[in-house]
Amino acid sequence: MKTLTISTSILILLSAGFSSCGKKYERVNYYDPTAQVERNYTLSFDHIEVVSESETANINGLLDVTEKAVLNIYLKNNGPDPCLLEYGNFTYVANTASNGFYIPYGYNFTVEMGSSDAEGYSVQYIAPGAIDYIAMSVRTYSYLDPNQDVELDFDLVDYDGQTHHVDFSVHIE
Amino acid sequence: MKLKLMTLFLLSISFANSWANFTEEKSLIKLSPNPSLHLNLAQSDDLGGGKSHTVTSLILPGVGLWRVTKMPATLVFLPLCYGMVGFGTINIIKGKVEYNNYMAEKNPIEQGTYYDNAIKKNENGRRILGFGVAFWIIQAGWTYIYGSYNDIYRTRNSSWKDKITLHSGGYDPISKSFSLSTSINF
Repeated sequence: MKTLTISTSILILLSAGFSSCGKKYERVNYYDPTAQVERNYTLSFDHIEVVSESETANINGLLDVTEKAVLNIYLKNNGPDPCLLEYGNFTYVANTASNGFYIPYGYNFTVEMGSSDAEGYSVQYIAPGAIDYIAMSVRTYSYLDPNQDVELDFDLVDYDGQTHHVDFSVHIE
Repeated sequence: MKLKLMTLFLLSISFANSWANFTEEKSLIKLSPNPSLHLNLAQSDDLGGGKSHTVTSLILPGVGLWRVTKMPATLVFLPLCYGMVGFGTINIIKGKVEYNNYMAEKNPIEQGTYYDNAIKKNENGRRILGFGVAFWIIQAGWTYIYGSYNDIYRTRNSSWKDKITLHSGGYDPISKSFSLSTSINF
């Protein structure tokens, strides 16, 4: 009985010791939203693309009066790490009630990057050095004054908790 | 898990029994069965190999132990140790491959699948490998202990033979007398 106890104890101790050795994997993929890593990068506004229902893409950021369109807001990740955006908050939208410019988003919106369709799943990252866009539907009404710039500001919050301020304007023809 | 514990339990009982029998003082004299009882000194062939077979056990688990204990059942360690170490290593390698897939994946859903697989295979692999290595070391230790006792008994027998010589002996059931012819060197 004594030998049985000693043998079993040695076996358990040895196996437990060897089992605890070796590398334990951690979630450190920089493209993993749940990874416990600190990403280092800067984000900058690049340009706007207006895709209206009636016309082809207008890269000049021009928007007509009385139009339904999609604004592709292009952002560049200056690296060196990938940027993973979680949600955005509008900090300033031109007075939509009076000027006829409407964005059907709340003040807190989920960010999905433009390459989502190509990838087949919701992409919330911008690779280092890459430019990708956030698509936003907009609508203008007839009482919107032409020949003006409509300013929009919003903050993008990433999975590291950092906030990136983006401000731009759309010209109304 | 239950199967592992059962296997461990049976192996431990088997070796505990053999160990208990082995550690009893070995008789230097054997009695041959009736009708003619003849006495013979135990020969060195009756003992298994020495502790040098530990090297054999380290290379081929169970083989060295079989040579020192003369128990064929100990050969079970050969497939057991190699199997557990091999299977554990394969699982660890598969876990590493899954982790590399996780690191290269950008789809959050696929990331989760790869990561979970990596953790599962890595933990299972290390657990199985740990048991395999533990069995490997323990059977080598048993080989060393058995072999050491064999060496001790063999030396003792040899030493006794230098001093005591048993020429002949036996029991005659007809005359119901016992005879023993020995010589002792001082």
